[in-house]
Amino acid sequence: MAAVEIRNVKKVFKREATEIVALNNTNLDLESGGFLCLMGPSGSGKSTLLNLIAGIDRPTSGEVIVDGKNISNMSESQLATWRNHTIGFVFQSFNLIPVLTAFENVELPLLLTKLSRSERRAHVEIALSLVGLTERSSHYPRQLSGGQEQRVAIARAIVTDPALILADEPTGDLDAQSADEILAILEKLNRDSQKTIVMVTHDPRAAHHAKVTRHLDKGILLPEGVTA
Amino acid sequence: MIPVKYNFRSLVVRRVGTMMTIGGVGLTVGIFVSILAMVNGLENTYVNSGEPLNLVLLRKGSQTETNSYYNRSFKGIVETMNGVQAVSGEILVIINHPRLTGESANLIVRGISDKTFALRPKIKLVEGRMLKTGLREVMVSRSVSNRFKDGKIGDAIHIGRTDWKVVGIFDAARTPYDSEIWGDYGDVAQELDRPIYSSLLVRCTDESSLKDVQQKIIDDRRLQMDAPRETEYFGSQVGTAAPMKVLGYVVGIIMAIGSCFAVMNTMYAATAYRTREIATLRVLGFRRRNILLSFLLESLLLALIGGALGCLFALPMNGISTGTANFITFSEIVFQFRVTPRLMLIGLAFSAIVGTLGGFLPARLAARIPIVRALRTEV
Amino acid sequence: MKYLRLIFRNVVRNRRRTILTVLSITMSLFLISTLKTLLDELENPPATPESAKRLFTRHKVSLGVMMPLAYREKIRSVPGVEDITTYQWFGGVYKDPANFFAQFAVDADRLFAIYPEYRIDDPSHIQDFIKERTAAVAGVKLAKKYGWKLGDRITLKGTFTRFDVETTIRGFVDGGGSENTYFFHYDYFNELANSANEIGTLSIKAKSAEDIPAISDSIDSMFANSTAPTKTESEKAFFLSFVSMYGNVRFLVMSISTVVLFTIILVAANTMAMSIRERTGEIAILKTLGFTPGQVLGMTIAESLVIALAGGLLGSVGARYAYGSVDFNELSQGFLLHFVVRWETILMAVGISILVAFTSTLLPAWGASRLSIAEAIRRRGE
Repeated sequence: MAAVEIRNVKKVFKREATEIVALNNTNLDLESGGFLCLMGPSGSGKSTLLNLIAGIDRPTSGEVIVDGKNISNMSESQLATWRNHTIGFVFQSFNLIPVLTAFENVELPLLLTKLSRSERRAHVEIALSLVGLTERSSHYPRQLSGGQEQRVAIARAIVTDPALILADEPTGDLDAQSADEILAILEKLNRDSQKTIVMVTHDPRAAHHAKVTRHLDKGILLPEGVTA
Repeated sequence: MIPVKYNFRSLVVRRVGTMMTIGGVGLTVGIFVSILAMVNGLENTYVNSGEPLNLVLLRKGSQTETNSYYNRSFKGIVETMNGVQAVSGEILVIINHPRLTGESANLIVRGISDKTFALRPKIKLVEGRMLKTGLREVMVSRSVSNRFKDGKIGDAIHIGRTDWKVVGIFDAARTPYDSEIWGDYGDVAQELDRPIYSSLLVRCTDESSLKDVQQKIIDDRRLQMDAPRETEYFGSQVGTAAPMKVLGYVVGIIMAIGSCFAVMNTMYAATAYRTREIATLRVLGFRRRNILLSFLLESLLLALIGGALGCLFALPMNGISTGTANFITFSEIVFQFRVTPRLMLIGLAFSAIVGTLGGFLPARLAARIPIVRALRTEV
Repeated sequence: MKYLRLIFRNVVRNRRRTILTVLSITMSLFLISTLKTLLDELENPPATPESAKRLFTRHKVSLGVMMPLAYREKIRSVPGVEDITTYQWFGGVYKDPANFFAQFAVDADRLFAIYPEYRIDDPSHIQDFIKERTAAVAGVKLAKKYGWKLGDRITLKGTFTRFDVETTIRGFVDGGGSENTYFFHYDYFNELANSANEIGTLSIKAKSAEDIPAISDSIDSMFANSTAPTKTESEKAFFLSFVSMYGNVRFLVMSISTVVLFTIILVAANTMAMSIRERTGEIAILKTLGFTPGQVLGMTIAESLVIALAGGLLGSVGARYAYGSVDFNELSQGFLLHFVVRWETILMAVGISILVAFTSTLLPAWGASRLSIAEAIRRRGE
């Protein structure tokens, strides 16, 4: 089954009087268990595509089907619940809540589920151990290094056991060593836990960890193997 | 639900702004509760005063003892009625006497009978001795003694044309009697050259005879009297607190509106600083409703802490004694600020309203933040 | 002055915050202006040349105790006294105890000479009032409230008297507080009281305001050793004694105002702290351009000044106009003659605004101006 299907998607931003076409007539199929890397220069539309798959933005036209569900016509609150169950999002700048500890940050998405306190604790501990941060669970984000922060963010993304992990420049703010650690974790999640991953990056070394790399240019998704 | 600790810690992080806002709400609630404590104390003086089996006999139409007067022979008529246990015939006059602070106020001088204390069992002599008939001696209430010149034992108070020696101090258990000076009936009537009664206090044997006596007095065409219960008589003067109440609500409402704006300011700043956090929460699957509630809760928390602080500000006011005019009897009424748990709850509710009104618009704004744009905001 | 544009831009930069701060300060200064005006109107009502010449005589013991009527003629012969009238309070009830208004029994032929500020609707009505024993003149606002017309018969039920008075309206009066007052004949009152020949209050007009202390001394010493000693004081002092009966109004008003002042400072300081914090980087850039810490501080204070003054003026001037359309005389049942926010109160509000601007800026600004340039630029990203 296809994890992500993009059908004739177009995304237009309106800025004052001018219209900017961020994505044009885009089609994409990603199999379950895939690891797709999206590359391209700034403004090529790669982040827009990722946001559409994450259900935090809506296409101007076309359909986005994730995990068999057409999310293009869901309501805002349906989308929110859907996001909670189906996807995990990893940001370039981590976006941990600064006033919550690592443990509490990871626990956040679970607060929307019906899990009991002890079940939540168990899930959080598993997620933190998968990223190798069990000892740091009571630390606040400012007490962690950038690499550790991003590992907490990954733990937060996987704690609800979503089918799909979306990562927007996950190594963009990290030094080379931390970046490698993060990519290794993502690769392991893809390989051992069969998570489908879509990652946006413009770091070619990061792209090597993915199974497939696709390039975008000026709102067009180029065929496999073609670079701009 | 977004956990409350998130809001609480966020308030702690922005501690300067949080503290200033809490301080503002706190002062607002503090002043509001303080004025209400004053109103409460004054109202309480009237509301819970008087013995249930006592009737106050007043001349028809006069609403107070100070306006009332009638022939002394009426006492005999009432005393012989069935169901009447005892009658105290008293005379009232208002004198103008200086407070310790200098300016003068009107005080009620009551010429009392040998039944006066018996019919008012809550009133106790706490210092000195009972006055003696014919010697121009007075007893003053503890409150008058503390607030007015010449109020100590051994001092002399000028009433009419002569000086009256203070021989005792009584405590009237925070009733309106706490604002009075008591002399002997015969002495006072003689001093004023008025051989009349201003008021008869009638003790009935029980509740059913009280109703009979009341009816008999009202029906007696010779007497031409009104006969409210002592409790009703004082209860009807509770309107004395009305101007203060108006002041309290005017001050409270105006300050509350001002505080709402201040809370709004703080909460708008909070949403601005945390735009990206809000977007992140949305990406994690929290709904707009969750965000709205969370920020509303934060505003509420902020205001409630302020409210609690305000109640603490007001607490030391409890028991402070002050006086105002009862414009029905035209005399000074002494009362104490009363900060009660009910008032503190009102103060907290008041701060909760400020928090909700002040937090609503910023919270709605936070809930409506578009995720994609917010994720890009630099903070 | 050349920095005005920069200051102004900073004020309007975060428009919502500026507006909310201004509004918050507005409410507070509206309240302070209200309280100040209340105090002014109670303690220091505007005096007219007429009122400055008047005195009141009452029994020394208290207002409730009566004096012999004969005092009226004795006082009339005191040097410096131009005229005198009885001014007997009658707390009667018109239909319902809730209908409360001031009623006085007076010498009908003297009233308008002693109170020239009372204007009658038609000069001939003064004669109508004087010549009929049960005639009355009613304040125009009372007449409007109860729908009274000329010739209406009004019964006032006595509260501290045994009798009721039955009067006929022969004219309407306006001005000087008379608009909410009801006047009838003292002679009629006395007759109903079985010619007891007693009076509670006498209103006296002096030939000149300077004579007032001498007149009051000679009246009070004249009766000092009688059975009914008197207390004579100027109209102003007489009314002030009513105010002091309310308790320490001044202290109450001052305490509330002080607390309100603190809340304004907190609100303004919070705004200035937010605004300076946001601009830490910019301030550093200004300093790199060569602005001195003093200039930076000055501009910040100026910004706060604009906000505080806007709030202060809006609050106090707003109060002046808001209260202009409210009839406080009627609202307070004649207790307050009127309620006008004076220009000196507005000046006071401006003073408070300036104080608030300085205190609310100094702390956060002091911190900002001391910040080293590198530190400030570094903080910009936070």
